[in-house]
Amino acid sequence: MIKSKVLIIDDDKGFVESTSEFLTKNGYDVVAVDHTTNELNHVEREAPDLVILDVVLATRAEGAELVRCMCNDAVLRDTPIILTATPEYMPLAEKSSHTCIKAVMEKTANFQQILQTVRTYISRTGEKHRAIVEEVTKLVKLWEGKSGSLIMILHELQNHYGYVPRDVAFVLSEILDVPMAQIYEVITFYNFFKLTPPGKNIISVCLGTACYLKGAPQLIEEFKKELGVSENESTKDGLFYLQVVRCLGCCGLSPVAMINGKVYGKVTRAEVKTILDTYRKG
Amino acid sequence: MKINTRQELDSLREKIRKEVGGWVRVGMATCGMAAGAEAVYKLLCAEVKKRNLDIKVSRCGCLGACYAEPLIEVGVNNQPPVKYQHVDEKVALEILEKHIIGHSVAEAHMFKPEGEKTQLRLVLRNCSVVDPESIEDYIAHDGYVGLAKVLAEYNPGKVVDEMKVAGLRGRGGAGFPTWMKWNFGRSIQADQKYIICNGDEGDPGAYMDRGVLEGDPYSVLEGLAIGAFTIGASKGFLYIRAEYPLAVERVQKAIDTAYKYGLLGQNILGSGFNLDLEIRLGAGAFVCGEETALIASIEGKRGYPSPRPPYPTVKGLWGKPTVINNVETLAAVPAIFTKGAEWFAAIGSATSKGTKVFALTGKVKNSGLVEVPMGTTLRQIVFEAGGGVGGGKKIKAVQTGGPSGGVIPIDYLDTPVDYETLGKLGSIMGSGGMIVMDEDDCMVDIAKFYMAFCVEESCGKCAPCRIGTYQMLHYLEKITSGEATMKDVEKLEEIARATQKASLCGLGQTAPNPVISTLRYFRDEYIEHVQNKKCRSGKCKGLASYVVSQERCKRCGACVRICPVGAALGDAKSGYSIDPVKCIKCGQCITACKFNAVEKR
Repeated sequence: MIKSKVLIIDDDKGFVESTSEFLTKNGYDVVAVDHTTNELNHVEREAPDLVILDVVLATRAEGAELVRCMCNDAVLRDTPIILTATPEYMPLAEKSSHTCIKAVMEKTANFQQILQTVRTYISRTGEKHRAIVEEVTKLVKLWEGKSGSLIMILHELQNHYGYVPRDVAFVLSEILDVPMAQIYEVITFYNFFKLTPPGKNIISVCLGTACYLKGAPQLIEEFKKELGVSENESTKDGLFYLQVVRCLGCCGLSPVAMINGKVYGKVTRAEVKTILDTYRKG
Repeated sequence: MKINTRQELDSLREKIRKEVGGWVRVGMATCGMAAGAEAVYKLLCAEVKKRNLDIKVSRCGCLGACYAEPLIEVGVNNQPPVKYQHVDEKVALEILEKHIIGHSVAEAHMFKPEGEKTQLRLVLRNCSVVDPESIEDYIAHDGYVGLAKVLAEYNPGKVVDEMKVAGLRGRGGAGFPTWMKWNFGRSIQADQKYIICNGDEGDPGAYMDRGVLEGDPYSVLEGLAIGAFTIGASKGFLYIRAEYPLAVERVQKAIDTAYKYGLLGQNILGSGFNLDLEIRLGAGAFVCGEETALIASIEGKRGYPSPRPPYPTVKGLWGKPTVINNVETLAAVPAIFTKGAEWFAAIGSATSKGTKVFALTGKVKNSGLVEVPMGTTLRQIVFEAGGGVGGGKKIKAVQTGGPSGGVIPIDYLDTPVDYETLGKLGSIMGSGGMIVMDEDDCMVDIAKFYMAFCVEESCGKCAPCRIGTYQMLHYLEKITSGEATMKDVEKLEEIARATQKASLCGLGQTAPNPVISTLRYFRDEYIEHVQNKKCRSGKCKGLASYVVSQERCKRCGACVRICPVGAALGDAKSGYSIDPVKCIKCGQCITACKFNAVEKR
């Protein structure tokens, strides 16, 4: 079993040393960095399961900036953050409202409290983690003993979760004993796999040659304008996900768009809003 | 219910055939489903049951006429079968009353196909007839006759000889003789060999393989079995695009059923021949249609191609000898062994035997899958099978081979289509996409469209393809936006030639084809774009100028209100005009004008 990894980003040497020692004793793999290095690179490289972050690093803005970058990163946004602060900066820490911040703690908190919080939010020990392990094990079993099954397993995972979440990929890496890099290498090569959750309704606009000739580019523009997103993005309300695909094989009906498997043929720009409205109403 | 011997298979076939009485078939490939065939099928099933009719309602694959979907076919009372088009639930009920019960044809909805004469359905022979989800229906229509014959009467060498007589060539694009490939696979010694069906149909605008996999999966399985027997493979894979869920579902069902019937697995038909088949899904990478990349993908890795030789027939999947055949190739194989190699060889042209399925789309009136004997002319395909160009426009060119192919101008419409003639014209047969373009289509824009596709799909392993395609796209964008000089056109051509020569795999080697062929036949359009800053079709937005027709303008001012940059000027009194300097050519004024007064020139 790989140990769960905690990354501490803090310039308070005393806090770093004592917390590291305590968490290591309790079975965690701890890495610490101070503010003089490029923190985001560290997070990317270390791929921790949880980050303990000082709200004020070299400047007041730096901690907040790192949180913002992580939340906007498709891969890192699933990593939970515990924000720490000295009592004077607690109001600043409590103001942060990003989704990946799971808890805000005073640095004066005792170790047990920190350990408790780490245990709660590190996915490897929680209820969520157990469910993931169970699901991944079940799906991997379907392909047991068959060589070259990584892509097929990823298909199964995406079918189940709608995308390939990072913590799921981690569990897969452990179960298959395949490095995380190899799994991500495959995911990022194939267009079909998604690293972020798609919106509720998946819109695929066809850009095959026949559709292209019959006005698909204008149609795509219209969808983008109407939804306010770019290709391969979800709307803010999570209702729609827009993707451009190469040929749905309905060239006779071009230009074609498909929403959740339902095909709309000979779509005009004017119809886009009406079509979307039927899904908006639910 | 396992079939153990050839005799058992034959007696089962006799038994099923006798049971067939009146029938209705509903075309239920993706195109039919998209048009609403599922509801029609369900309704007919329910009504037949409710009224207790002695009618068999079944699904079938693509009937080939996408423009007339949903299509159904009715055969009752020993009358000749009749096809109906645009059948929705209401029409279906009418046909049920009138034809199925009343035995008189519902004339108003009859489908009168155009150009049936030009076509010859060989690969698609079962697609409009056999229920793709019923192995018994397939067996009743001569299914597994070929495999049974091969297993009982042939040895691998004889199969190769027979295939040589038939002259079948690979339908994936390059046209490599299938017998030769099988012979390579057969002659090499190894403890394990593999056979793979390449169903990674990546060409945007082609869907023959989808049609076959959805409409006649058992033919592909039978073809695979004959191939596996020949080369000595006991394990095979079908690599299918994940974007074709219906095809995947039907092939999986077919595999499961074939195992149950003993037509896959151990000791098939008592011959001692074993074969296991498995589906592997593609995941949206065009390059995986290339055989070495496909192998890497089946192995669970990134789909990077590798240099050949060694060819897969020597060192393929997991280092073992592997034969890869295209879907359409494999579907043709059972027919060869059922009807005979001479019969097959009699169809087609001197160098290319048999038929070819084309996905005929674009500006053609009747788009759909058409199957014609090799050697049929482009004109026959477009004007007879496809019904010509719609909307009163003039045909300008025909594109074959997708992003790896080229454009063929109308001067060559009377060319008989086969591997060699298309090659000479600077295009390729490709997998079978055939796109008709009319005078509204800009050839430079088309080249740009395909190049953008190749840039996206280049896997990035080798520099000529990765950088070459990107640079070509750059120059094409420059040309279509009116910023290029003639020097840029020269550069474009130079890079195209270099990419063709230096790329590692087929993707890069053929990616420049659309550029090279448009330059060959439509150089004047390139020159027009560069020197006169003009795009005659009006497709290239960067070159268009917008003009308000004073005759049609009703002075409503809609263009002024919508224009995002204030380029539409004027007032209701003096009329409106568009300032070409300010105009960003977004085209919004055209959309906004209700009187078609804004023109793009």
